[in-house]
Amino acid sequence: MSDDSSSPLTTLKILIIGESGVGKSSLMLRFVDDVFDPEQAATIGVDFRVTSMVIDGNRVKLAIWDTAGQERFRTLTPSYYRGAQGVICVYDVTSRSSFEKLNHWMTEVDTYCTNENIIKMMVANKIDMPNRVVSREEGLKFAKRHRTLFIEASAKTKEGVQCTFEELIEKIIQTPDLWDNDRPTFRLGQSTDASGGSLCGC
Amino acid sequence: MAEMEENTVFEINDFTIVTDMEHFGAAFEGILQKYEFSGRRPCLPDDVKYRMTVADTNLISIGNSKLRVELLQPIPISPENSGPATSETNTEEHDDAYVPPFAVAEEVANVKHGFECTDSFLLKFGVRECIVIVPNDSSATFTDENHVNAVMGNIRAILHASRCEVPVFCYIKDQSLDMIAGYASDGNSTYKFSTVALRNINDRHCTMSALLFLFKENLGASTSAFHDEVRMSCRFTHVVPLKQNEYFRNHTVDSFGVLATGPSSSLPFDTLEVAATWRFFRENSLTENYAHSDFDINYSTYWTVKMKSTKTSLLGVFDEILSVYKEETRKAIRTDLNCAAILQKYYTPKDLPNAFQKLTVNSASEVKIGKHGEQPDVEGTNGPMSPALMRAWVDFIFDPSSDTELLSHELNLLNASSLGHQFSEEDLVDNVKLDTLFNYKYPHRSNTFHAPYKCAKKTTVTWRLAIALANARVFMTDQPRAEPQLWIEFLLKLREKYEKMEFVENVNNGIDHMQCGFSQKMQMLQMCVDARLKRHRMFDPNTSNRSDEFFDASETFNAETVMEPNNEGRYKLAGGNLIGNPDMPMYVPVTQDACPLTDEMIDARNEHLFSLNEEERVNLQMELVISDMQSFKAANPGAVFADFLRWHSPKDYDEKTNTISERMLIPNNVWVRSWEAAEPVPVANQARIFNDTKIAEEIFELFNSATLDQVRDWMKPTTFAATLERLIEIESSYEISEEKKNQRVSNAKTLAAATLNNSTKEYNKIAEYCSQMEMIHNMKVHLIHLFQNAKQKMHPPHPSETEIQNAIKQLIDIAEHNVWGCSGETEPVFTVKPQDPIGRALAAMGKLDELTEKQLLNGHRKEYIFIWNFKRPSTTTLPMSHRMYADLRRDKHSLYFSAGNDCNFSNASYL
Repeated sequence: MSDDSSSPLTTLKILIIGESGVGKSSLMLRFVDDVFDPEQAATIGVDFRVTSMVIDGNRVKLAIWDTAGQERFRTLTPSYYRGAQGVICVYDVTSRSSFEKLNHWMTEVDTYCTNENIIKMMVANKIDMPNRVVSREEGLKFAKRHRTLFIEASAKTKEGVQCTFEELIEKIIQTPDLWDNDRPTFRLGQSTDASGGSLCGC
Repeated sequence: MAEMEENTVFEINDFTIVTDMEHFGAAFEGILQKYEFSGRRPCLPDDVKYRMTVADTNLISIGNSKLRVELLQPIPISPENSGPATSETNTEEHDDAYVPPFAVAEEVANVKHGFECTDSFLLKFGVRECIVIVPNDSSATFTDENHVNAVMGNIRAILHASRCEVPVFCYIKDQSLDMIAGYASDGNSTYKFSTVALRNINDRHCTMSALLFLFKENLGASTSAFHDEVRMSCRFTHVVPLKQNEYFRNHTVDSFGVLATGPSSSLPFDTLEVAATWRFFRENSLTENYAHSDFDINYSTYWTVKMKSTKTSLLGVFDEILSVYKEETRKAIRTDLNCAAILQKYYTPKDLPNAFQKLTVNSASEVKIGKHGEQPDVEGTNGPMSPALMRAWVDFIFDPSSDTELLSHELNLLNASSLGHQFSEEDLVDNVKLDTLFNYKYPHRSNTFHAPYKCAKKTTVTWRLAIALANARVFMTDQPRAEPQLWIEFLLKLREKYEKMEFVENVNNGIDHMQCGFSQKMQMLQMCVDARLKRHRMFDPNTSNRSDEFFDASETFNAETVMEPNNEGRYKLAGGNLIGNPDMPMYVPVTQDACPLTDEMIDARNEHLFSLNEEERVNLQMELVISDMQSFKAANPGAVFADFLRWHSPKDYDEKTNTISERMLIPNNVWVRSWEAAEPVPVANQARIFNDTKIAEEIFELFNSATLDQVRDWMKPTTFAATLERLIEIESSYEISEEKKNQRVSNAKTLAAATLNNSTKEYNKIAEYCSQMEMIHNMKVHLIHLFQNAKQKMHPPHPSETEIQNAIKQLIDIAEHNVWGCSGETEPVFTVKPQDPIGRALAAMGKLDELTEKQLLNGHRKEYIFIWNFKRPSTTTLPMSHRMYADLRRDKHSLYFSAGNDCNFSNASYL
């Protein structure tokens, strides 16, 4: 679907955050490589993937940063927020505690993000699981209160994954203040492509 | 008429060669035809104000010279109604027998065309609509009067032939000489316009009575009782110096703490220009001759007033502060050198070891402290400013709440030395008043910004340092090396504080990434100090029992510990026993902190991470986990991987089922591998993850080797923010318009963007805005001060606050126009009545009541308009108005005549 020939409109940095084990890496890998591994190893520090997608006829390059959810790595997370245009905050519908920690994550986003208009998205993951404890309404209510986008998804069944990224990128593109400047800082994916995963296959 | 035209055609055909003059004539006639100027022109009503604009421009040549033919037409500026429309309706009201008058004759006769007009031709000749012929280049087209007469003769013929009643003026020689000849006719009567310009006429002729005589003589009239009286207006411009002392800054600890404001060298205004106008008086009602003048400016009809400066630049100190960031900056010293090198003889760095040599010593600090104790002579600069002052200033930068007695003492010395000559008590009081006005202290100072600038916060050391370096440029302009001196002294103190592990910068929960790069480095230094304190405590169990002085400075350090420092690196009990060794309680180990990162370090680290493959990346990021595993093993001998997970990642161990999560059980995964490889090593014996010594030395190395340009660049975002914020503060000393408030908000946003993106264009925009606004502020403050003083000197009734505010506003509008106004716009005018309170206040300001008779006779510029109804050339002709405008300046005396003639000799038969 991606049109490789056209030069990208911009490169966007998307950050995925949330408690340990809610499926952040799985979401990213499903979106970028269209794979799902039920035995996904715990992320160490931060992992990245570079891909691109076409939104409203514009090709945008995406650098997706998948952060570790474990407490011990959190001292480093503030540095990952630098220059991010979008943030995906994931929780696990089968774990109430992961939902209850969302407040903490929202505060962190507000504290550390450098872009005033950063686009936030709440993703309720693992909706394929039978032992769901957080309802859609609860999730929606929280998202409304914090003025974020909201989507329910399952990295395992693919449901909502593509939509998550499309909606987020579309919203970012509609906010030119976020990406339409010549900030001279280092941008992922611009200096090197070596580490990038395959192009979006969806 | 038809026959006449035939003749003309015949005559032109008769020539075999068309002359230059004929070419010109044909072209000029073409222009008149284009304008359709044939017959009567409308007379414009008096109640509408007009502005003259160049409605059309044509280029024609006469020989090799090019001439510009401009059509000047009046455009109504009063909103009530437009001129021509009114005159047309007026015309319709008259009956058929009414013949509209010759517009030029009506205008010349109009006494209201006086000093209220700012348009050149209206003032000089009394006419509005006209055609002006100007040389198009600097080459003098018309070299002499004969040449002009020939051209004017030609023009006259064309005007008559085309029945054009619009006057035509022609400049002789250069336009700047202001020598003008002109002509207008309606076929019956004519007006001849001429100029006399002299470099110097005898003083005897520079009075009203002499000029009146000259005017009459020019018209060939002998004085007779039967003649109408001459109607006159005149305007005397007096330029008086404002008697005031030079302004000097009285430095106080307070004024050193806030960004400097006010004029950069001298006060904005030093002269008062009063143009006193007497309107419409008759011959003999006022006298001015060689010995006597009735024109006492305090009793004129009205004044137009301006405040001026004889200085070339009115810029304030903000311009001086921010101009170092402009490329075309005026540089007093080389700024691309290392600051220590700039100081030359004033500073010799003592035993500066290679910064990295210190790394071989475990704690270089203690050695250094000892040395300082032995050497009483402190390393430092010895000039150009008093080192004691600079050191006291640096102490103030680090801690403004500390004892400022020393700084205050040094400032008194500085004040005494800058006070050139003796000031009287009254002058000093006056200067203090001015100083207070300029250094307005905003009562509701807050620590928040008007927009999220990426710069040092208001209460930080960096913020005060940026202000101090900017102030050094302003307060010590005659010593441009004061700025690098202050920087060097700051660095020495910074090093000393670092060595003594004292407070160097505010840090609140890690490095604040919303602050600028320099501020982040200062925060990093503080974190290095904190890390060293923490390490010392770990090494030396007695440290915690020592006096509290070490821990005062540290905000991030948490002194709360459950256990005394121990060899196993145990921090506290975790609760519960180990799975691997059920008899042993589980301990939470003392762990290492991750290395704090500045923006620069984050960018470098991210770039590095991206250049690695996945395995290398994971290994690099395992650093912290491996350290944790080592500490955990050291604190808990016999512990198994499950124990580590219970502490480190409880999500991966189910306490109910006693199972490890699937993801941690993936065979050969990096967690398990690392756990098995980890040796039990307490933090005290581990390699440092946050190598504070190395990072601090790198920062000191960078600071020490900085050029002045670099230092200024580091201060740039903070200095700009401080300037804009200070501007907002000083502007709040009076009401400002809603429009300006909005401008302020948008400028704060622009600056926030500039600090974030380091965009030069936006910075320049802010610099320009700040220096303009400060200049206006300085003018306001100066005028406020002048009016305050005037009020004390004058007799009641005093002008009200509103009147003063209005006067200040109008005077500033004029000054603004003269500094930034477009040349096309007319200068605003501030008119006052001399006997109104404001007029009397202005008189007190300029001591106008002390003007002597001689000064009255010799104003800087005297202008007179004479209008006389007189029958010319003979007593039987119809009376016509004649006009003379005399403009007498110091170096040039010009007379402009508009002389009418009822007898038209120059008909179309001229050719």
